[in-house]
Amino acid sequence: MKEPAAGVRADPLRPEKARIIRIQPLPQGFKLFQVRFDDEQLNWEFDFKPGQFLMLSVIGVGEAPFAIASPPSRQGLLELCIHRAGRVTTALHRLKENAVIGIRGPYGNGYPIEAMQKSDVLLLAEGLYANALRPLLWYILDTRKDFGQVTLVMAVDSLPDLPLHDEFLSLLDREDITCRVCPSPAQAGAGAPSLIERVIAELRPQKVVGQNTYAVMAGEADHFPPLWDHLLQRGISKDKILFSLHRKMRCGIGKCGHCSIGYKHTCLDGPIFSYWDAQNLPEVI
Amino acid sequence: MDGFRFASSHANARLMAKDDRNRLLELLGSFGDLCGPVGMPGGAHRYQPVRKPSEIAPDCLRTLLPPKKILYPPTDELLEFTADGGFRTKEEATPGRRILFGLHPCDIHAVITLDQVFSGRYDEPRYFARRQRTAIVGTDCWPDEQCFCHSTKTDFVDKGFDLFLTDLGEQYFVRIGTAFGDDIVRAAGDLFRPVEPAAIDLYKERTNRRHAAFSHSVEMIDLPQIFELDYDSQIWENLGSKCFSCGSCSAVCPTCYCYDVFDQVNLDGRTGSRFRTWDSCLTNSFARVADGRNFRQERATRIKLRYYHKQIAFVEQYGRPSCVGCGRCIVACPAEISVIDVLNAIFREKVVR
Repeated sequence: MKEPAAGVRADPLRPEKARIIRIQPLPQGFKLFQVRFDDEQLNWEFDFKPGQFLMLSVIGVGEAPFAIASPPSRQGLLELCIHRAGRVTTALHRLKENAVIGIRGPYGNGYPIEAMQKSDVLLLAEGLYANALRPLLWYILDTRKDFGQVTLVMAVDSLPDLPLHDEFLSLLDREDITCRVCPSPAQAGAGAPSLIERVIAELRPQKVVGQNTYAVMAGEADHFPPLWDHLLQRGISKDKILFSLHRKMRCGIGKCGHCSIGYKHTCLDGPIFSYWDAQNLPEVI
Repeated sequence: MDGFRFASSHANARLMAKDDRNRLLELLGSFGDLCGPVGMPGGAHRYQPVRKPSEIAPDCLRTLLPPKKILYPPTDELLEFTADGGFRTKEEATPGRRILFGLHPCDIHAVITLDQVFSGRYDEPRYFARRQRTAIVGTDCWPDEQCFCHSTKTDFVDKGFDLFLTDLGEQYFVRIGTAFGDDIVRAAGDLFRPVEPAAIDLYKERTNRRHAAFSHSVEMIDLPQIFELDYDSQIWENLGSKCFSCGSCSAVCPTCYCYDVFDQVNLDGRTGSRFRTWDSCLTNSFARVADGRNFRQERATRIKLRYYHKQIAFVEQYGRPSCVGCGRCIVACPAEISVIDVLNAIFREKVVR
């Protein structure tokens, strides 16, 4: 018979009871949910890194993974910026404030914030994906002295359609971050530059010290290659070019198999991967 | 420690007359709920709990589904929930001990693999609750044309069993793997007798003849590297056009563990349960996400994932492939895809330019 490994086994699949505190409707089918655990202690014990995700259950409907949209530097409640897309998110969007939900986590690797300290950080986003940078962006701004130069470059087609655009616009007034928001393309119609091309164009005049810079990008992974090329030319190492991948997940703990990419699990080894990973793993793009 | 020496390994081996097999099964039944291969009309065998030891077909080579279905049931109730109370872990009702009889070396290696999969950074308590009260009585076997466990190096076990029976013709050579196995032996009275030298000769001879009895050989050592170098091989397109995406290979695989999860609401509309159910990476929906995007839309990419995960990713993660060479997927595949042919083709075929 197989001997027990170590002590009591907690159930990693059991969600904790939580509640939606506030719902803020956003453009483009997004909503910002503020959630808290019913067990007050959990709200202060729930420790995570920017870039990590959690599993959220709509009771009686199902469970799905969602990136935590708030930074760990703002403890006490969690924010989730969720697009209405499938069965679980449609049910979630129907819930009212004070509705009971289930939450377990945090899961995944998150951004390597310890390693990133003292480095310059480039945050690059195409369109609606800008929200994926939110937890890291605010974590850096909340612990600003730990980081070097911080630059945010994002290309969007229509600024008012960007969820939380006012939050991004508020950054333009700050002196501790260089913020370039390019809301409309220089030329319209066929032959217009893609969002990623506009990010690159906007990035070109920026001063970047390659060896000491992390580049964090948010967008569709298959749009990344031209931007990768540009960042390599600026002297940034492949393992300092980071991005978050999304996959189907049923467990979040490396058992159900759905999120596999090559020999890695997005839930355990990701969701934050580097260009070096992408080069060595099949199926990233 | 001068003068100390380990007791001869004979201390952990016994002989048992083959005619006494039913006595052994009766004895095993007194230690827990007995499970084993049971014959079905048509000649196939099913692995299942038995009421009477005589139901067991002790010489069965290959059950349709592997014994994983006892440790990791096809559908498993994970949690119970109420609309305003949240989630509660579903406790299993019967904590009795189970004796799994008739696992061959490949099946035992597969259980060891599942132990690895369900532990790690997150332990799976449901699996280990069952596993910790499960004893394994293995039996050796004689390969048929679908067996290739000597290629996967899973044709022999030196751990993972409580007792292991090797057929020497008139008698069984019984290896004792755990103190619990030893409990059984000591409770057995005159059923077992000490090993004599002639039996060891027979055991050696049997082992050598069995090694020579495999009709297929697959090169596994360099496979990860070759696979990676020829990742875009035409083989996958060809297989994708043959495969029905039915997932039979996953269902019958002793090491496939991927699962899907669904919630079921009771008629009161307030309570319900969350279940998990075996899934297969061959099905179209396996990597499809909510906005309709499918990371493996093409069948070729899904069958490639299956081979990549079993033969490459596992080597990276656990040091050996998860395939144990049992041949069940070869028997089950309605498109007659054979893992032996596929792996050999990866080596043989020229890179398409």
